[in-house]
Amino acid sequence: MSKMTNVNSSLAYEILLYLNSFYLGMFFVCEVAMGILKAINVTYPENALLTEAGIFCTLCLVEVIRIFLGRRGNLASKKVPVFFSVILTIPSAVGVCYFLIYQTYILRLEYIWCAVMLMFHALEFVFAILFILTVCKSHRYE
Amino acid sequence: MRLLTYFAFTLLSVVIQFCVMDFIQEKIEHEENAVYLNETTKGKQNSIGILKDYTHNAHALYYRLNAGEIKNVSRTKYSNSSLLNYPFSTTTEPSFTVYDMLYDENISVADGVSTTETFFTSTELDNVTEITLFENTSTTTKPEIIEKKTRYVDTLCYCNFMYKQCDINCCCDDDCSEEENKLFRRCRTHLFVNVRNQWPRNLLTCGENDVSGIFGNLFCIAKTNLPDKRAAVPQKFFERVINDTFVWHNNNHNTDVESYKFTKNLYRNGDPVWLLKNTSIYYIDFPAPFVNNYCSIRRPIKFLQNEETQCLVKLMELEMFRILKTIDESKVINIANNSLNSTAMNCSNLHCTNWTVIYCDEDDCLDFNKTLHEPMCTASFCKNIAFRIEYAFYVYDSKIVNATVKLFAKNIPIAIQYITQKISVKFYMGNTSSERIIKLSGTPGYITGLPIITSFTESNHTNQFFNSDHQNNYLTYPDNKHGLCVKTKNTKKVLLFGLNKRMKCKISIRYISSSNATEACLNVQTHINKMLSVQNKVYVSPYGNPNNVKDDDWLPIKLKSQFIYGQLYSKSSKIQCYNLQTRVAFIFTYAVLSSSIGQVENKLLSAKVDGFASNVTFSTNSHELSTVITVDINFINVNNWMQHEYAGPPHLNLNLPKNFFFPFPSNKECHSYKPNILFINYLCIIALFVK
Repeated sequence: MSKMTNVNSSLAYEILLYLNSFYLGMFFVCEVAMGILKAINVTYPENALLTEAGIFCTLCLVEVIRIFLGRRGNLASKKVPVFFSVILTIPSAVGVCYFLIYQTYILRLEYIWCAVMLMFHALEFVFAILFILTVCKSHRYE
Repeated sequence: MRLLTYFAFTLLSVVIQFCVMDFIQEKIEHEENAVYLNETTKGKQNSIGILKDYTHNAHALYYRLNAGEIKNVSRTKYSNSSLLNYPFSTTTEPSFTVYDMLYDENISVADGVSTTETFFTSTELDNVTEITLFENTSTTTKPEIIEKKTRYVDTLCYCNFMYKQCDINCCCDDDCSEEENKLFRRCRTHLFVNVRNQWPRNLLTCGENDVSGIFGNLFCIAKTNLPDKRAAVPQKFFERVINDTFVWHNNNHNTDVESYKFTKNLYRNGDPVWLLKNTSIYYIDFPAPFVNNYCSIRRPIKFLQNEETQCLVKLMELEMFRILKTIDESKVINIANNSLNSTAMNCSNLHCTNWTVIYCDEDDCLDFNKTLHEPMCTASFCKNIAFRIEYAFYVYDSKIVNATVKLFAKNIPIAIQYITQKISVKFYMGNTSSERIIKLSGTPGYITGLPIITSFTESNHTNQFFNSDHQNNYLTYPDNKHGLCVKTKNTKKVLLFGLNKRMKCKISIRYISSSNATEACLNVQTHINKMLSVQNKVYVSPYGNPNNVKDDDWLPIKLKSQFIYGQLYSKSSKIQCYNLQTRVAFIFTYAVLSSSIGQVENKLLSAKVDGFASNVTFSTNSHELSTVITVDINFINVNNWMQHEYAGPPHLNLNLPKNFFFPFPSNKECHSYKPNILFINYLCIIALFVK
């Protein structure tokens, strides 16, 4: 009978996910505030505001699931949740790129916080891959 | 617990961000105040004194420092220009610098942007190349030299802007009767001028150079991804439109908050204007924007309350369709004294007023003819589409005696999804047509945004102003329509006080092959002069109210004629015109006369028009001689001539200790080492935020 040890959780990955969870909260609050500010001050083409609001909600939902799966997988040293977290990084990064490049009005402030978010994604992606590789390699049997 | 920490952290981040932004905002305000205070103190100097000082300190008008250099530059560049023919021969004359800068080819408009605001007034449809330069907005907000206004308070009425006509809500206007004064809800003290032709600058719109604080202005829009409005998008209602079947459908999402109930009383200020349709009574309303720029709500037209609004609307939902239906079906009603006791609701008991509809195209205004002026569409464009609607209600004895609707129509491509429609509502006391009302531009000094008063006659300027049609009282120049100069009765630009502008457009004149080259060149120059209203000597009133201004005090302006001649090159089918004045600058200097509460009045000190002579080559192949003309309008405030446009850098005024540059002091001075480190940190933080 085999038994896997739980010594593979990545501290760096955990720190990144932990910080990202707070950053997501700030990102959500600020982006909503900016959305309101823009809706009041500038004119949006038809349905553009609704589309952007929809994309933003989806992005936040995907991010929450991604961070949750990443942390759960990391702490339990399970590769499957982390693998799904890595998969979810792609739509999440695409969503952030949308706000960075393609949304109707991009504020200078949004450049900064979207770039920070993408940095989190990139680092987490790298550490998640490293984590999966570590878990795959370190199966020990007793 | 974790949730609480999470929210606390988020809140802290947001608070920190807003604190930083507040700090930056405070800094901006502080800098603005610095300019403002300087201007106030200098504003007390008289203009002559300031001009004297100016000889010692050549104003760089943004960046030039040496008057001699200015002169040299202009001479080397424009040997053929009329720069040396100024009435003021020295380079200290304010307009010299402006003229020189405007016509310096090395200085682009972008140079102006770095120091001043630049407004582009191009519309979505027109290729307008009109630029508002050196917008001087500070003059309208300066509460300076308030003590001076007492000179006028007793004798002048600051809200009386219509000659021999009662101004609404202006209680000091002698033209208003007591009954009319009773109708006014509140007495205003001055005129609110809506300065037109400016790009609406909102909170998030910043220029490239709007940088403040160490982070720049983070709330500025860095990039927009708006769809191309000129792109042809297939329309859902395409079939219906080309079949010319505009059908009015009820707008169920009417979100009026207030509800009004018809009562049998005479109109009072703020009551909705009531209409009678068959036997039912309802009030007239107009579309207005809510939150964003789209026409999303409707507001009632209220008695004696002027309104001006513009919003985006779909072609099918244009207000003109609703108006045309309303006008057909209804009449404006007034309660007469004899109808107070009557119960029947018809025009025999109520005082009914028919609508007058006027259709205006780009050239002229005519009575609306349903067969000629009804909107219709073809596969590619729609014609007679009214994008601007003006309601004019004439009130006499608490009754609306005349209700006029002016529809300003034009042809538009069918591919345009949204149109900006402008609606204005104006009430006039009395029965005089708005066209015949003489409007003043100040009381007595000019107010920014109101037209410059001009006389085209040789004498009796003041009498001429008060007795002629108001169309002839203002200086006009052509409007830019798709790049072409257009000047008609309805399509033209009026020269407004205080608004610096540059306008470029192309003129085309038919070339008659039988005429010689010089004659053709003279024709071109005559056409340009006519377009710019400078073919003859023009007189400009120094005050916005020319009453009691003597003929000698009116400021003459005349474009100096050049020796124009032409040369025909038959082989290349070209005509070369020499000394053609295609660039013309109107230059006005003014001084702050006095300021009433919230309103600054100005006196024109000098006015002149200068032309820049150049050699222009025309091709005769197309049988049309076309060239681009440039009009510059510059207003120079001599009161703040010496002022810096922006506040200088802040002075920290720090006195560094003697051992500041010695981080490793001897043992004796060890006690001062720690404070030094702290001091350096403190300085770094200050430098970061004050930078």
